[in-house]
Amino acid sequence: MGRPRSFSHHRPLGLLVVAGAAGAGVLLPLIYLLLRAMEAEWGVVQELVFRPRNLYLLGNTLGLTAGVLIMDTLIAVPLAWLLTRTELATRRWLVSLAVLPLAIPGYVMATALLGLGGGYGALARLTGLSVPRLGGYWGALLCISLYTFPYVFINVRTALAGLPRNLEEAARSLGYTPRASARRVVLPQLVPALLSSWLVVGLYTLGDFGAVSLMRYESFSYAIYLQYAGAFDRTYAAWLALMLLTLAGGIVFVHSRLQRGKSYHAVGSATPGGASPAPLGHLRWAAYAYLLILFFLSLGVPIGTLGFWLFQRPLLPELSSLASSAIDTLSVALPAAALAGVLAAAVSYLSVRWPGKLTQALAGAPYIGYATPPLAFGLALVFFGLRGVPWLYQTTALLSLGLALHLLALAVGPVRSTLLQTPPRLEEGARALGRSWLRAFLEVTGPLMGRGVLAGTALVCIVAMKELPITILLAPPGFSTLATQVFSYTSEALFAQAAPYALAIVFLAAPLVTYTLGREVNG
Amino acid sequence: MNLLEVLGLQRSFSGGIRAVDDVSFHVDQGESFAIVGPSGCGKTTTLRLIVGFDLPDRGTVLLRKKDITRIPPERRGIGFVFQEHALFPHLSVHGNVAFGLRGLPRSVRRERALELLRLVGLGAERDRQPHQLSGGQQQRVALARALAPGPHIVLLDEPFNSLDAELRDVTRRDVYTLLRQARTASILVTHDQQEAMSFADRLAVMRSGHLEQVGTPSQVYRYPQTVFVARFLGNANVLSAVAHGADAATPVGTVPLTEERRGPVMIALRPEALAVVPNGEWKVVACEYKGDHSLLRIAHEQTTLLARSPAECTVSPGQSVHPTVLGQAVPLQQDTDGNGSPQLQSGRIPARPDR
Repeated sequence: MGRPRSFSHHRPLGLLVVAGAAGAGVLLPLIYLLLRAMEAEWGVVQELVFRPRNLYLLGNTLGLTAGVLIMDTLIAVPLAWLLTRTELATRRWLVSLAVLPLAIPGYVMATALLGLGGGYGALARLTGLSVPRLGGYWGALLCISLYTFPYVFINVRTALAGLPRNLEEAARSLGYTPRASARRVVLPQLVPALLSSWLVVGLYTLGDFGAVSLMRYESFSYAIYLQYAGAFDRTYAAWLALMLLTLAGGIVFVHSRLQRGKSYHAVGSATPGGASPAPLGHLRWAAYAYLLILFFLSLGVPIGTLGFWLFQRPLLPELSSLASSAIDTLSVALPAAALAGVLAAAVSYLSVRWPGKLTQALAGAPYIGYATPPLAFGLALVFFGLRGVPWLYQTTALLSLGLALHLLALAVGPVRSTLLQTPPRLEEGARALGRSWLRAFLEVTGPLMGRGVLAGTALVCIVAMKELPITILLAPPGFSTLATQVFSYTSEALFAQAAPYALAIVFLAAPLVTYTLGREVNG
Repeated sequence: MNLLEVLGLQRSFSGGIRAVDDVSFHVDQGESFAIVGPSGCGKTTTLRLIVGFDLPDRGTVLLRKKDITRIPPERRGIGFVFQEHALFPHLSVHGNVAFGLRGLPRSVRRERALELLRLVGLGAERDRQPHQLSGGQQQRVALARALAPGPHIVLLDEPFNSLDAELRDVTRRDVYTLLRQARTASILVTHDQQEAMSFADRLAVMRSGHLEQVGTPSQVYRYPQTVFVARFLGNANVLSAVAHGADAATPVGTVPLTEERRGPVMIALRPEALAVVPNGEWKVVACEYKGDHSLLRIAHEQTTLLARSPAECTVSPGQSVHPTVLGQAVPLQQDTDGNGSPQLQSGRIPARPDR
């Protein structure tokens, strides 16, 4: 057990109980998933696990994940270079545009892309030009890439901006051309940033449900849903969820192996940035064309298509249903965000002020919940609800709880970082001035930590509002959020009905995404 | 033979500030040259123009008689050592040194890199990562990396700045010896006059974009030509005086001059050329004990002067003293506060007898 770093020698029991409950809340459902899967007879299990179909699903899931990683990297690396190293770097609003696609959830992007093509799609109706409707592998690939590339962009851009310019100059003075020094010096140092963004995007793609199911691409997530909702084969669904969980664990493992020894320490006190940005010269038009095409596809197409469908039906009769969905959405997202904020505060405070094996483990638990593919987590919660807390099953309370536990890691991040910036000295100072431990916390650390808690809560709230798979599995009958409405209408190709809900989500999420991420990136 | 020649170099930045204004000098084969000046005087910009990280608005850089002004840095054959070392964090110590050895067989590269690491005394550290080394070791790796491709000349941009005082002296001596052993010419840029004087065969004093004076350290120290140089290199007393040929009337009495002058003139008088005897019109303000000598600060009316006295302070603050002149004073050129007016042709120091 780590020695207490601070004045108080005992970890407060109350905090331990709350943080322990959070950890248990993340892990318990997974145990129930395991138990449910093990219930089946051994012969049945063998038959399920060694079905050739699993191999097909595995190939599909990995193929999609690899494709998305490649696409995102091809899109984001040149974009990050343009927006840090060239004359375009001064245009801050381009950075905001580049992170904005994150506000578009997968099922909304899929709705827009599906509504664009086909015989009676938006494009055919507007121009008479009929393109085949997207779908399958290429549809899912394009769809997911178009809104996940900002994750890679943010990481690579931060790394590029922080890279000392004199490293490239050193390479130049040692005989390397600009191109060769970019390859031999800059690129290797972007590897850590690429790896961590690949982890995020990889886990995301594994777990994505909305885009793949609307595009009818058979990945693990889609198959779990089909088994659960269509075939009612819960044993097979549980085993598929376990396989998906193993796959996610494998990605985390491979990432940690690759990351080993790659966390380059800055050597010396090099000043980042420095030299003037490269003038683009005659490449300027190519650069603008690239940005234009990218923003057209990632923002223009979804907004334009949804806008087109919005006006295909009178909006007014739709408003009351829209309002009731919005209220349902908030009635789940707000309690989930508040709960996540409280749990994150307890977990972070404990692990920062009393570092030790137990508190570190408690701080790590939320990340397991976050890395668990949402459909697997949702299914685990279903089993947990049926067996463990039947009185909670099919209530909005369990749904809120599930979302809070799945998204807890999002809140822990900002809370921890503000706490790490608040030295224990401040609390010690307050205690030396005659405050009790609790008063010192409430008067000094609490207010300072407040910013982080608020940011974390806001982040959980945005993501919970857009959440689809867990909501679909846990929603009580008759309960419909904006997300489930988009999904069910689009599943039946009712794009005009889906459009108002989809646009509502985008306009709810966009300002928050620009605010939180734009601030982080432009820092 | 002139290895490097810099002719009329000029570079302005946005806002019309001339960071480098008509700078000319040369560096000989195997010579250690230094540019010294306060921060922001344009010395680093000069270095960046020579290596090619930046391009001049006007002027020429000749390396072995070849015009390299517009050639990209990778084709110049000039080594560069950065203030922050700029070691590649993704490569080992050996990888860093071997980085510049291109187009050679692997075994040759390895041998050559190892040879250089041994030269800087870091043969045993070759497999370490840069962040595992101390500041002084990083500095030596940076030098080995710059020397590895066998450059014509190595430029050092405040390379000892990031080291603490003790390490600084040792590292500076090491670097000096290494450059001698490698017979490589060098230009050191620094704001530390002691560092410049103990490192360089010749040095240039730079101020707001132009060179004030170029010469050997002793020439520049003994015979400063401007008020700025006199004050910047050692704490010379600068006095206004009236010259009458070989000597001049000053607030400390008649002083012999190194050079004949007539009329009002500014003169520089080193503290070591000034001593004090008890009783007089001057008052001792402070006495700093320096071990082998003491530095006295004496004042009379508006004038404050520095004088050197034997190791022990024989006078105490408040005591009245009389200054006596032991050496010669150097007449200075009228300083026009450096608005780009060329006070003198750099590099020309009239030969003069000692004392």
